[in-house]
Amino acid sequence: MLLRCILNDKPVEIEADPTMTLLDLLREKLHLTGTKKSCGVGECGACTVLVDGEPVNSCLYMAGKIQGKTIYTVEGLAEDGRLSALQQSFLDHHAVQCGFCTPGMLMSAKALLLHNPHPTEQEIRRALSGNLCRCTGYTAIVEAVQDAADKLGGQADAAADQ
Amino acid sequence: MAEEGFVRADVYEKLTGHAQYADDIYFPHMLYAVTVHAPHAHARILSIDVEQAKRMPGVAGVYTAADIPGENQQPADKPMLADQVICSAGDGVAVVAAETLEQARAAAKKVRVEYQVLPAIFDPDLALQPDSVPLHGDSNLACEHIVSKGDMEKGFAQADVILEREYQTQRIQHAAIEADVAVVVPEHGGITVYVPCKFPYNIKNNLARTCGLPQSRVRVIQPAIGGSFGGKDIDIIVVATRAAMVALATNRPCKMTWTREECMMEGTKRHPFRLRYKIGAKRDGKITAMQILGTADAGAYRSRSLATIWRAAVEATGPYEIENVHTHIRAAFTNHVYSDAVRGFGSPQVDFASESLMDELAQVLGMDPLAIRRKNMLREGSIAATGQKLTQVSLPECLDRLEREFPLGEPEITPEGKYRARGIACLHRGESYGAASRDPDVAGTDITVRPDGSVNIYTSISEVGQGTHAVMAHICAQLLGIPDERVTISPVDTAYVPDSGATAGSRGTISGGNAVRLAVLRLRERIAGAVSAQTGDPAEEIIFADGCLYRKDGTKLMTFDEAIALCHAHGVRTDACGQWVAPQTSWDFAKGQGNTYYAFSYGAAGAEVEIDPVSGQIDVTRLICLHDIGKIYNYPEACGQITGGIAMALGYTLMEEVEMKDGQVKSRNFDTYLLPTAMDAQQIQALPLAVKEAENPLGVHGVGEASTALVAPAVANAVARATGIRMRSLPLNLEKVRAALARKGENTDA
Repeated sequence: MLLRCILNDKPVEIEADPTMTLLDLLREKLHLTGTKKSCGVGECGACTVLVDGEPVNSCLYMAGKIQGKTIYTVEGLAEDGRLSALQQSFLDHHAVQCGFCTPGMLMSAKALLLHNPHPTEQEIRRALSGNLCRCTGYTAIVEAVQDAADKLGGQADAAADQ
Repeated sequence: MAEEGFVRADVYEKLTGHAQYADDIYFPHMLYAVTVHAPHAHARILSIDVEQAKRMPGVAGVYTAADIPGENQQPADKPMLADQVICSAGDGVAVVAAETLEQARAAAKKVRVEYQVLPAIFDPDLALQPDSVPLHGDSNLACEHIVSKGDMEKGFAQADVILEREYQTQRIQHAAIEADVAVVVPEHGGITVYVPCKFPYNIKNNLARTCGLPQSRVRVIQPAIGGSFGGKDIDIIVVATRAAMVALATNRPCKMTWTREECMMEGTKRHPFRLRYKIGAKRDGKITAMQILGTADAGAYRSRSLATIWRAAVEATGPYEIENVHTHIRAAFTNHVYSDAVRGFGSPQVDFASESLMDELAQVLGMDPLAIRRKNMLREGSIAATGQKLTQVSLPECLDRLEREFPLGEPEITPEGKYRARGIACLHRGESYGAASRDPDVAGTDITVRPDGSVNIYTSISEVGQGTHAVMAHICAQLLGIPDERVTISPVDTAYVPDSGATAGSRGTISGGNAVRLAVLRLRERIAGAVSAQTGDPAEEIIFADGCLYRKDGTKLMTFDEAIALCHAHGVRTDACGQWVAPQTSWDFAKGQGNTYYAFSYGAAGAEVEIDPVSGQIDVTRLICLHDIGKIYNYPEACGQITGGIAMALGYTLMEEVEMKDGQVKSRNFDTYLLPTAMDAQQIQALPLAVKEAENPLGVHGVGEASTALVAPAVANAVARATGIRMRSLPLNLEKVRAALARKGENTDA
């Protein structure tokens, strides 16, 4: 089946079995290996991507469902080779250790900030509770998201004031 | 102290999705291999029929133990593929390779294995009974270690009170988010192996053995590593051997990636322990004797049981000076999935027991938990249970700091219907391999300065996420007086990097860092020598700082780049190797005495809990762990390491358990094996301290493991103070807490 979608701001057309998972489509067919596979049953969040602005576990999401939709993966976050504010905040807060959960964390955090530019700590923790991390104990990640929200939210508010 | 820290070179790629982990590696014409696992805990293989599987679409080959090119199994160790007998459910019996993963999986279902099921043994104490059928050799004793000091009879005779208590700890999984994986490419008459691992040369040596190749024909390359936690060693040898046998048989690249279920089912675990303590003390709290008898479940194969059990025996008294000690811990073979090194080795098990016991003793004596610890704690010059005289002991300072940061007696507001209290724990922990290790505790590092002045470090210490490579680069840059970004760490590839030993025992920065220091000292001698020959300045007086070389009086000689150019012009080498050899240790196995570890680290923790008696839920409302790590290079990364260790320990304390039934792993994925989430791990405070520099030239202690050992006893002690109930079996999950509260209610009613 010919699948058409907007992937990381670029139109994509690809012939693929619609019953394969979006995760396999991304990794095996489109060679976007930033999205990680870990549990395969939607429990760890390492494979999180955005579909029309919503975070989904791509290991449970059928490729056929992306028809006409907008997809973002971790590879779509940096702009012109520069880290996005969220990525930069992860770097500044030492929120990356082994890095295997990082792509999924970033996508869940991006989804949160899209819907809720001023999240509380508990809202951040809830939004990330589907993303398992074995390295960091989450503290630095939560701080990174909070700080990114403060900076991005501040910018958005400033823009709205003008 | 640089609390700002510095950025790690590996982070940028990890943030952009471009970091390449082993499963992200693809080669043209690559085959996919899967394992066929045995369903029984103990069985004899009668026959394996691979014919139907071989005829399945896309299948390139089906392989069994008979096809292993080299040595399949060392005595009592796990076979790469089971040969005659299955010793634990999940053991691999065959490997199926096909053009696609789906084809390999479909064909694996067609491998027919006929088994004769044998009686299985799951209780380690029963397994050690003389009439038990041995799984290996002539006994189920995998290993045993004794620590002995003083006169037990005399010690207990001096005691005013004697307590006997039993504690149990459970089996857990490393649970790195990256699954075990290997990609093997046949080339140059041998193999190139892409694997995440914590000890590249161990993988190399073992693969040479299992593949029947000379070591020179096995090259191990580390891609990015998605966490280790003590794993990524034995399990990787198994996975990589299976991929390698396909690669060698077909002359094609081959990838094997375990599913999460396979990691849970066949992968190594933390040893469960049963520990029986007997302690005698005077009325003033002074401990007069401690006897510890323990049994650990090694599971079906030996792996790193020896090191784990030995560490447990060395540390089993907790950080206390006791005149009379007898510790005897045995590990038994059973038909359970095998146990191995997991972050902390044997420390978390014995520290849960010994630190729970200290609070039990305090309660019986009517003493404050902090006071009883201070009465008995290790101090500068104390003699440990092993007879070792301890130096650079910072436990008193750690407890003082804990008292300031986390006062036990602080009035607590308890929400209605809930219990709330605080508890503490402390530890001493041996660093690096220790005296019982079979591997020499050495680390090699090479450093090269290129003509453009860029510096490259070659080490096989693994960057598993802990940030050790950045610290090594920083140390190198500081000693050469150049900015950090001039120094890069070579990709870890055994074709280039020297053997630096295992990234284990919290030794990465200690051993790797000190090896870097030694290499830089030699390198500076060479460069200074070349400069001296030109300028006539005494070489030993030349100072490297701020990108320049200076005379003793502070006048500038030349820039670092000019000095390097000068070396190259005159044919002076600008490379050097450093070989860190750990200080000597020794151990008398028969007497149970010796100089165990060349250094110990000290720490203390406090936990505040709130318990809901209806659900049995323990909320850890505050958790503070402070660790004296000697000298702190990258403060935020040290905090991150400790925080992560605390979170892993919180899982160990409250929720994690690999549940077994009749030898079968029942928790096979993260839906049933629960890891702490961002909602569970809250209110964690990591406090790295620089109290006393460690006894190595850099003054550094390890950071990785100590934090995994303090949380369980601190939480259990808080629970006991809150509810009056002492829980002696981990994890402290909802069911156990509810049951314990119900029993307490019944007793009160009666």
